[in-house]
Amino acid sequence: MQTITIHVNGKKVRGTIDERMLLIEFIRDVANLTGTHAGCWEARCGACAVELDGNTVKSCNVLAVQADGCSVFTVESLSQQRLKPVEHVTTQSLAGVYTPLQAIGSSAADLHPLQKAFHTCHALQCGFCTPGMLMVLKGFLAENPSPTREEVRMAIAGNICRCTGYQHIVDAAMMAAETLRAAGP
Amino acid sequence: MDVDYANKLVGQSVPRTEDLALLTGTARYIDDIRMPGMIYAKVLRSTHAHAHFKLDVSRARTMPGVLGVLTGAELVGKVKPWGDLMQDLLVGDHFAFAIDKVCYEGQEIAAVVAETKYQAMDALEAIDIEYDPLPVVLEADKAILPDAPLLHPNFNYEFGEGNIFDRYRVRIGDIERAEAEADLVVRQRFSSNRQAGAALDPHGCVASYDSFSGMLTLYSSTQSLFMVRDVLADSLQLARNRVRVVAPEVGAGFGSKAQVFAHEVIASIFSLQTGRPVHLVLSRAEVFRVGTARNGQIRHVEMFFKKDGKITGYRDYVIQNSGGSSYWGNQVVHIGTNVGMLPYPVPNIHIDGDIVHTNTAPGGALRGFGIPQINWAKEQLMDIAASELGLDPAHIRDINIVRGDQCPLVTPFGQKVDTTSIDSCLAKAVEVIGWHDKRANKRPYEGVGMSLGMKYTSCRHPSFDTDLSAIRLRLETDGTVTIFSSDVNHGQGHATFLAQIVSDVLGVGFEKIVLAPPDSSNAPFGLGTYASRAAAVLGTACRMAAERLREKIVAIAAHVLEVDAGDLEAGGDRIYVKGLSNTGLYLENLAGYSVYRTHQLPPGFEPTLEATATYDTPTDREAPDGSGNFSVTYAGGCHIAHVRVDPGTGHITILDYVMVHDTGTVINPLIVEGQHQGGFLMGLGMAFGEDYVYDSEGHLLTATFAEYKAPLATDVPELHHLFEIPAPSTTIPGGQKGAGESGTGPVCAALGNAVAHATGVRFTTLPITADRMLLALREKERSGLEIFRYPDDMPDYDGPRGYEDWPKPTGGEGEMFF
Amino acid sequence: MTPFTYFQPAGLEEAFSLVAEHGPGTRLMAGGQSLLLALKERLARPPTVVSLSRIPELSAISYAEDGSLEVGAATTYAQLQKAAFTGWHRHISAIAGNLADRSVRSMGTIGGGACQADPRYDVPTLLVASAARMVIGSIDGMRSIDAAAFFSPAGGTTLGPRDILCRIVFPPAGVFASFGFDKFRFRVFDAAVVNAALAVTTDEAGRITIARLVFGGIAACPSVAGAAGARLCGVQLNEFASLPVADIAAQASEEVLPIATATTRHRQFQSELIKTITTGLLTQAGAPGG
Repeated sequence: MQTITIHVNGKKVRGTIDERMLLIEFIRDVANLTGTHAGCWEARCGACAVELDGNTVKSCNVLAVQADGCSVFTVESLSQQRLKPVEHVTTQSLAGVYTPLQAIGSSAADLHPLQKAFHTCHALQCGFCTPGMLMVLKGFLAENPSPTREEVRMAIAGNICRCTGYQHIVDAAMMAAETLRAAGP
Repeated sequence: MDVDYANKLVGQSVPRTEDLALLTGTARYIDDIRMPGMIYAKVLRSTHAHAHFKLDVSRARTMPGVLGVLTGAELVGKVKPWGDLMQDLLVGDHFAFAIDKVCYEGQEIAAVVAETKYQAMDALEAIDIEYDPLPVVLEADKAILPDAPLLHPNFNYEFGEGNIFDRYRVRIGDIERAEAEADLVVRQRFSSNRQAGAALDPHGCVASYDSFSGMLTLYSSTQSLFMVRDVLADSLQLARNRVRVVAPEVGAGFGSKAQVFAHEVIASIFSLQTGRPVHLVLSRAEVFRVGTARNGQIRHVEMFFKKDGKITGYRDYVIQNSGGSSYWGNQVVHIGTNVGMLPYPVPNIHIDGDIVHTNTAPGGALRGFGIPQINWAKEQLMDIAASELGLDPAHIRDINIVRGDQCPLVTPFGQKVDTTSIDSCLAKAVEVIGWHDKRANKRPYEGVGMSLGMKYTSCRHPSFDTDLSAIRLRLETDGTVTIFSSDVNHGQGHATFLAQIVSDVLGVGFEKIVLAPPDSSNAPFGLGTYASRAAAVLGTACRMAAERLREKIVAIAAHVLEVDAGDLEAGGDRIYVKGLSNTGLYLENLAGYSVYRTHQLPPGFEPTLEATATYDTPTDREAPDGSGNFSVTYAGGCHIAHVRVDPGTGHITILDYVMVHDTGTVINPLIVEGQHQGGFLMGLGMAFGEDYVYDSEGHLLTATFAEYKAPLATDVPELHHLFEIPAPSTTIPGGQKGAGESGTGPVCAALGNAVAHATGVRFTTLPITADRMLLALREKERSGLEIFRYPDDMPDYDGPRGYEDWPKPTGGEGEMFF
Repeated sequence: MTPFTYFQPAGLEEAFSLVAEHGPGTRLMAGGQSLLLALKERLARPPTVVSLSRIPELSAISYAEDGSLEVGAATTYAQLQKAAFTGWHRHISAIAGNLADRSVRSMGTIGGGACQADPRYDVPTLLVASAARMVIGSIDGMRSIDAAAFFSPAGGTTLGPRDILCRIVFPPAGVFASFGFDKFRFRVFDAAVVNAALAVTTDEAGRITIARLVFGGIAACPSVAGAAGARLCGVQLNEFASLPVADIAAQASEEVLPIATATTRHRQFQSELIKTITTGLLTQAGAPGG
C-alpha cells in the first residue's frame, strides 16, 4: 500500500492505495468521479482518456502511483459545476413570488465549446465514449486549433465509437474548433 | 393576440435532452453504481471450446475475502434452465453454468464473490479444473455432417436433430416451374461472418436482494427490462412482482443486450445468498466471448430471371452458425429471410434452412437481424444476373422493385408494404453518385456498386406472438408531464423524441416533460428497445397515450369553462377556446382539479390525469408456408459505394458513399441521421474487418479491440451524401418507420459490388480484408480469369466451388417447420 | 494484476541498485503501455516493478559533439513527435508520431518500444536500419552495443537481468543521403503487418556505400535484406530509375520471407506487402529530395 496525492480537476485527492490500482480506478473510486469510463481495460477504446500533466492518456493503462503528485483533468472539469437557481418550470401561478433554491449543476450555457458542439451536432448517442472523445479533442484542438477533418479523424483514431459512425463527432470537433478560435487564446 | 401553437416539434431536430448528463460525466452506467456493502463477483470461464471438465472449488472457498462460490452442479434442480419461456424459443438450453461439459470458449463454469475485485480474481485462480478435451466443430456446414462432434446430445428439438436445433422452410409459388421457364439461372454460395455488437459499455449488472421485503432488484445494462425480469424470475422460481429490473444509463447494445444472460442469474443468486449487493460487470474479452455475435450464414442461392431481367424465382439453402447456444438464432433466419427478400416481390420462393450449433460464441441479435446476411447474397446475385443479361445493375433493380405508386401492396411472400419510396431512393442515389458516368468511364481499380434493402419496423417474432410497447403518461400537479416506459433508451434519444410527441399532442412545453428511468416495478409492460421499434411502435403507444390524456384534460376544461370540448385546443401549457390562445386554463390548474379539487371534475370523471396505451402492431404470425407480414411497415433505402482498391496493398478506400432512405415521417431528423450513420458503421465493420476468427481448437483470436477490427474514425468515409425521401407509413398513425437498421443491411453488398466492379474480384465471403483482397488480385492475374471469385477460385479453397458440390437440405420434404 | 512492490527511483544509480537488489523477477517500467497490458491480464506477475519515468536523464534529448542524437530511453513518443529535428532525424518524429494513437503516445516511450522488442511496432526496425547505438547501464557500469546486437534473433533483447537501457544514440542528421520508412497496418492504431526502413549512405562521389533495408513484423527480430541492399551499392541515388526495382523488391521479399515458407494467408500477404513497400521505398529514395 502507498499513500499518494493526485490533483484531480484542481482538487487535491489523497488515497492510501494498493499499488495495483489504475489511474482510472483512482479517479472513479477514490476521487468518486465516474464520468471517466472503462470500455476495454486494454488501452484501445479510449473511453477512459483523461489529461495527465497536460497530455491526454488512457487512464486504464496508467498506474495511480505513476500519477502521484501529478495533475489530472477529467470530463467533469470541462464545464463549470456551480450553484445556480433550480430550473423553475411552474411559470404560471407562482412565477416571481419565490426565489428558486440554488443547486449545483451545469447548464447548457456552462458547457465547454466542445460539449456544446457535441450537443448541437448530435455527436453522441449512448454517450459512453463521449468523455474520452471530449478529453482527446480538447488536447488536440489546443495543439492544432485549425484542423482539417482528416486530422480530427486521426486525432480520435484511438477512441472507438460504435454508435455514431464518427460523422457527427467530426462535425462537432470542427464546430468547436471554430468557436475556440473565435474566442482567442 | 392569438399565438399559433401549430408549430409542431415532430419533424424538428430538437437537440437531445439526455445529452447534458452524458456530456458532463454525471450519467450513471452500470459500472458507476456504488451501493453500501457492495461485493464483487467474477466468473471462471472455459478455456476450451469443447470439453468435459472436473472441478474442485474447495481451495477457492478458503481464499481471503471470499463470500461465496457457485458451480453448475449445485444448482441443478434448483435453478430452472431457460430458453423455453416463450414459444419456439428453443428448449431449455441456457443455464447459469456448464455442468460437466463446455460447448464454447468462455462458457461459465464457476463464479466467486468476494469483498474486492482482486480477491475475487485471486480466488478464481484457486479453482482447480481439469479438462478432457473433445473434438470441436467450428463451421456450420461441418456441423451438419453425420460424423460431426455433437454439442448437446441430451436435448430433443422439435424441428431438428444432432447439431441442427431448428429448421426453416419457405414454399411460395412453384419453383420448379420458375426454374424450367427461366431464361437465366444464377447461382452462388455466399457466406457471412460473425460480428459483435461490441457496445462500448460492457454487459454487466448489480443484483441487490432485500431480505426483509424479499425483493430482488437487478440493475442491468440491458435493452429489455421485462424479457430479463420474466426469464430471471422464472429461472430462480421467484414471484415476478418480487423481481425488479432497473436499467441505468445503457451504453448501447445493438441487439447484444436484448436477452437474459448467465451473469445476471449468477449475480442474483449471490445476492440472494449473501444479502448484499453484488457487482458483476464483464471484461471486454468476456463480452466478445459470451455477449453474443451475429449469426454466420452460408447461403446457397439460386435466382431465376427472364430475359428482360424480371426475377421469377429464388431458391436458397441456408446453413446458419448460431454458436454454442443461441437465444435468438432461429428467429434471425425466419425474420431476416422474410423481410430481406424485399424490395423484390418474388413470385416463387423455395427456401430451406438448417440452424446449427457449433463450438463458437453464442449467436444473438445484432443490428440488421439476418438482413445483412441475405442482402449480401441476393444483392450480389442481382449484379451477377445484370452482367449476364447485359443490363445495368440499376435497371435490373428498377424493374423488379416494389414501387411507391403500387402501394399498398401485398407481395407473394405476404409482406404488406403500406408505402415505400424505394424507387425514388434508387433514382436519387444513382443521380447523386453519378452512376452512369462512373459505369461508362470506369477508371482502373475504381468501381461503383449498389444495394437496395428494406427493413422491418419492429417485428412479430414467429417465436412469440406479440409486438407491443406501452407508455404511461401522468400530468403532474404543476403542469409537468412524466413519461413511464419499460423500453430502455440506450442511445436512441427516447427522452427527446417521446417528449416531442407529447409536447405536440398536449401542448405542454417540451422542457416540462421528463422520461422516468426505466424500472419494471412502475413502468407498463413493453418488450424493449430493439428491432428499430422505438420511434414507430413505442412512439405510437406514446401518441395514443397522449391523445387519451388530452381527451381527459379537455373534458375537465370543457366542464370548468362550460364550453364544448370540440371548441377547445391545447397549446402553450393550457387548454383554450379556439382562437383565444392567450386565455383558457393552465394545465397545472387542470391537473390540480384532477387530484386535489375533485368536485370540480365533470360528473363521473375518474380522478387523476394518467393515461396508458399499449400498441401491438397489426402484424401476422408466420404461416406454414413461411409467408406472412411480420412487420407493421417497411423502411428502406438505396446505398451506392464508390471505391478504389490499392493494387499494391489491397487496401480499399471508399471515395464516396451515398445513402438515400425512406424512414417515413421523421420525428427528429438529426437523430435519424445519426442512426443511419451508425447503421452504416456497423455494416462497414461487417464488410471490411470485424470477424470472429478461431484457431483450429476453437479459441477466439479476436477477443480484444486490438485484434477485433472495429472501424476507427479514419476508416469511415465522409457520410454527407445522406438523404431522406419520406413515404409516411399509413399503418403507423404518426407515419414513422424504423430508422435503426436500414443503414446496416445494404452496406456489405454495396461494397462487394463496388469491389467487383473495381477489380473483377467477386467476394463470396466476408469480411473483405486487405489481405484477402490483395491475394485475390494476385491470384486473378495468375489465373487469367476475368471474374475471379474469392475464395471459391483460390487454389487452397476446399469448400464447394460449384452447384454440383453444394450440400442438399436435410429434413423430409413433407414437413413444415413453424 | 498480482501484488507487486513499486519503486520510483529519482536517479539512475538508485535504479541500478534496485534492479540488482531485487533480482531477475523485477520488471522495469517506463510508460507502462505494454507492461500494464500484461500485468492486467496476469500474463506477467512480477514481485517488483521499478519505474524509470522520474529519472530526468532518461527522458532528455540532446546532441553529442559529432552531431549524434541522444535520446533518453524514457522519452515518450509524444516528445519525439514534437521535437524540432533536422535531416533524417525528422523520420524519428514521423515514426513516433504515427505509432499507436495520440493518448498512448503520451505515455509510450522509445526505450519501452525497444525493450518490448516487438518489430511490428516500428521502433526496432528504425533502430536497426539507422544503426543506432544502445547505451546500457547497470550497477557494473555503462556500455553500448549496436541495435542489431540488441535484438535477440529468438525474440526479446540481449539485456541482462541487471541491465537498464538508458539511452539511444542515433547517427548525425547528415549521415544518410536518403532515409525512408513505410508500413502497412489495417487500422491506424494497429501493429504493422509489415514495416520497412531503407537507410542509404553515399561516398563523396555520390555512390551508395551502404543501403540497409530492414523489415519488421516478419520475424521475432528485425529482418535485414542484406543481399537486396547490397545490389544498390555503387549506384548513384539519382540513377535509381535505371535499376530493376521490382526485381530487387522481389529479392528482398524472398530473402526475408522465402515464398516456400509463406504457407498462411498472413504470410503470403506479408510477402506481397514487402514487394510493394520496398518498391515504394526504392522509388522514393531515387526521387529528387528522397
